[in-house]
Amino acid sequence: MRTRILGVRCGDEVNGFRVETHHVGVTSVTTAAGEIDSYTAGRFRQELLAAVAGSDSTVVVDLLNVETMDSSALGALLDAHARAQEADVELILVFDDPVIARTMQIAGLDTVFTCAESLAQATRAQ
Amino acid sequence: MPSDGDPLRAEFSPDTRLLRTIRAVVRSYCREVGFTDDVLVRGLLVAVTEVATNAMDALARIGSREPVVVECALGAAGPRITIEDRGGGMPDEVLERVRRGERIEGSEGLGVGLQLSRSLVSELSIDETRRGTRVSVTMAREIAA
Repeated sequence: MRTRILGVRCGDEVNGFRVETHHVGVTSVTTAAGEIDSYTAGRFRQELLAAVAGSDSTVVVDLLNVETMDSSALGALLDAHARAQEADVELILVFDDPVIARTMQIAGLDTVFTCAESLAQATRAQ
Repeated sequence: MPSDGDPLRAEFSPDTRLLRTIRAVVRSYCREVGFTDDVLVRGLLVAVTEVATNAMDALARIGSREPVVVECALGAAGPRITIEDRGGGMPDEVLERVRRGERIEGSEGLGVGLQLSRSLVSELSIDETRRGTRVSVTMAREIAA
């Protein structure tokens, strides 16, 4: 058995991450997809804070298509949570992924956020 | 001749694509060795991302452009990913707190990165090398996520 030495050539795309916000009635829905890490968490945070600032009722954060999420994403969510509390805006996280659930649990955030497993459930939770 | 599943070693220059590329390499290696449980693989990827971020931060702190070295190997329990940097290593006090699984207050972020990694994988070990830190994470096939 021999160790392979891998030559890595990186592509031009900076991390497979997308985030956008749209509105359903008075609810803002921020949808993130792909991988959230320390390089993309800043963009995620920016979108969340803008969604909270532009809302006077509820922001639903759709994480259903997030593939991996590290502690920098948790930091962004906590910042948004703090801002939402100041502005009296409700923040609801939507995820059904056991890895994200475990990540939230380990960081002790599962009791901080209102969580739902689907967008329909998040809508009903309002 | 090396073949699929043999240990793999890669060096990554610290840049904005590093984390994603490391995840792609680890994901590919897991597929090669037949470690395909999606939940376990993604748990491993989160742990690897946390460790690699720490390595990048350590290098940035001392202004180093030394590469981050990633090794993938298949142990008896499952894939083992080792990430090594030459970022000067952790202060003894921080290392001791990490080994006890405590949060590192004052660090950037939430200070839960290694704590999170340790909880997501079946084994995490940290060795201080002469010039930096070497962290290995192992994800056992049987572990419950």
